[in-house]
Amino acid sequence: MKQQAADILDTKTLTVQDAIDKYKVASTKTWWQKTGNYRIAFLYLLPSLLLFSVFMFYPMIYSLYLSFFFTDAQGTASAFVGWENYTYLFQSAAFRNSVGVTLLFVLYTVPSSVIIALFLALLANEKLRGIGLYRTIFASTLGMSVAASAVIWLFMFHPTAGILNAALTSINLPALSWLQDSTMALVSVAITTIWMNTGFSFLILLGGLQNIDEHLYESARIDGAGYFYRLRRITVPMLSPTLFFIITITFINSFQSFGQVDILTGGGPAEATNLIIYSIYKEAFIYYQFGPASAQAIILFGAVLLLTLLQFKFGEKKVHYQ
Amino acid sequence: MEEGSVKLKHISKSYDKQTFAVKETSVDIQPGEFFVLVGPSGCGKSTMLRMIAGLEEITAGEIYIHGKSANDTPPSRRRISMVFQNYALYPHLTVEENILFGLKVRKVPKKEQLRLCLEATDMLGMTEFLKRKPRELSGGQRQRVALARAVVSQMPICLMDEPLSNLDAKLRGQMRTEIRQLQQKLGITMIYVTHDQVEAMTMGDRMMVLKDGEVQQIGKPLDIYNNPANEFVANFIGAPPMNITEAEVQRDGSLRVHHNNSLTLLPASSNMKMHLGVRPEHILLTKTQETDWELSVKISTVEILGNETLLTFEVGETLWKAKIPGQWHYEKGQVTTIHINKQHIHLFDGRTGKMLPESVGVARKPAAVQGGASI
Repeated sequence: MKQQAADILDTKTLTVQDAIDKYKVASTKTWWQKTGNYRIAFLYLLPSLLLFSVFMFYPMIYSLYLSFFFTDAQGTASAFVGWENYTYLFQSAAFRNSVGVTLLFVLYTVPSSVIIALFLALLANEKLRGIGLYRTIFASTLGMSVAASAVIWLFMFHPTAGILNAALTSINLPALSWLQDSTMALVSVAITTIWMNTGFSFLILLGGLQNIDEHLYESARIDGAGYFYRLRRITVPMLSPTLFFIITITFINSFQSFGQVDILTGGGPAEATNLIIYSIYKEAFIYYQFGPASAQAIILFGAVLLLTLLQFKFGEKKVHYQ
Repeated sequence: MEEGSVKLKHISKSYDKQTFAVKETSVDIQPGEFFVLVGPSGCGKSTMLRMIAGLEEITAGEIYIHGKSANDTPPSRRRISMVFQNYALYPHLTVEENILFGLKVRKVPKKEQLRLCLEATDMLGMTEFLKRKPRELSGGQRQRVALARAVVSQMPICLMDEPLSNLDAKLRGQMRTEIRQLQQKLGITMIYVTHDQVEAMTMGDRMMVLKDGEVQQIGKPLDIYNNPANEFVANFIGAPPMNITEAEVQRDGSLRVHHNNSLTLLPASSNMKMHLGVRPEHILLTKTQETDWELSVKISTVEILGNETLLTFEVGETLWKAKIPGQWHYEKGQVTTIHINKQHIHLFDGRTGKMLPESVGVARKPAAVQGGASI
């Protein structure tokens, strides 16, 4: 029986193969003609490949290379030292401080940026007269350069002339030394960063909100679901791909914050705002220690990559793509 | 009044306070009735449904649901269920969670939820799909989930907004009967919006034909088909639409269609512009005992569908269509004679488009047809 069944199967597969063989016509195209599409594709990719190579791939590989060397003041590799730059970093209290400060900074900025942006997006998603004006205002920080925003905040943080302390004293609260106090300085930089992040996150989240089918809410309203129930059971799950994107982007951006630190605090007071990127900058361009600076850059890259991958692995389970 | 009834009193909706989206509509929908709102797109039928649902404010008028004034009742308190055109299924929830969403909101006990869910999915043959996400379902299955959601809510009134328009023709025919059967089984009031006159004709106990926010006619499907209130209804209900031609009233009270054969009106009413309408299915190619009027026409196109033939021909300046059973072969340009029973002729006021009362038009009852065709 089994043999028979196998035979039938065999003849069946054979007939298909036979039929194909019987009517198959050999292609007259040459190998060169067949691969024409690949060459055209490569041509289209060429400009980006060139740009990426010059400005991304080459510096990355060169950093990796430098991280294993001692360099002179011009940044030319002078002596191969193996892992010494890395071991030096892990023993250095300054670097450990930087890592701690950076993690704290990320913790300060990412959740609050996303929550504030989501809150504003929910507000701006209501259909009200003149809502377009508010949408523009909320999104406006997107169009502002880091330097400009940092300078604006620098004025606001000013201990005597700043509007923030003026506001505090007017309601009989003690004035704060925003940028001079070692705890407050990181908070102040974080506030500036959150403010700068909000515009972009707001815009993307608003776009995500507007993509949610209005009928889902109407259906829920007929069922009697209240605002917060709808927010929790419909809006957040439906927005999860956008939220995930925003969290990832804000996260990476936070790790790479530089301009605001440079303008507001210069890493101080007492290294309290010396984020890794700023520390890399100081190491390389103030102390001319290109080797340890490169090693820091590689560690930062690895850490961000690892954390982003982890985020994808664990976060994506909660994301509902349609 | 009873549970499950919906009463609209002079309901109006205007978005810009200049034009009406829905104009002064009044209707009584009985408990357990299948009521269809039908009209072309933009006629206000969906707006009316959404006002009944409470999703849209009412500009003027009163609405009574379950016999009580519901002008200010929020949607969740109206005890209605609604099926949307795109089904409005939550893409991130499984079929089961979708069906139970409303019950969870209303805090129905878990056991009861499960029982109701199984009952509804069983009724719609969806039990094996409970754990799937909507995107893993076909259009027809999604439709069934949307229906199950309405069934499980156990609300006495169900509103449907063009639920079949996203399905292919075959499935649509099948779902038509299923929805109708479901409604009868549950004994609920159904208010059903569609632009498809076939759905309106086959599903509804009664229907309301709308155009530009104005009610054209309310009645039983067959009554509307047989006695359309005006030219618009005559045109909208029935496929292909009714043939309508301008007709001249002679001094002796007879009616002429483009210098063709005239027809006597009883009683004579001269000086009136009239439009004459005949349904394509009432045109015959052979003279029978029933036919008492004939017209000579020129064939312009022939579409043979197998079981029937659609003929288009010129009657004066207008084109008429005829639906003839069987397969008929004609040449373009061929001249032939069509036969009509005067009972089947509809007359409309030439200016307003309103159907003329029987006393003016050709009487529809055989007894009143006395004049016959004056040839």
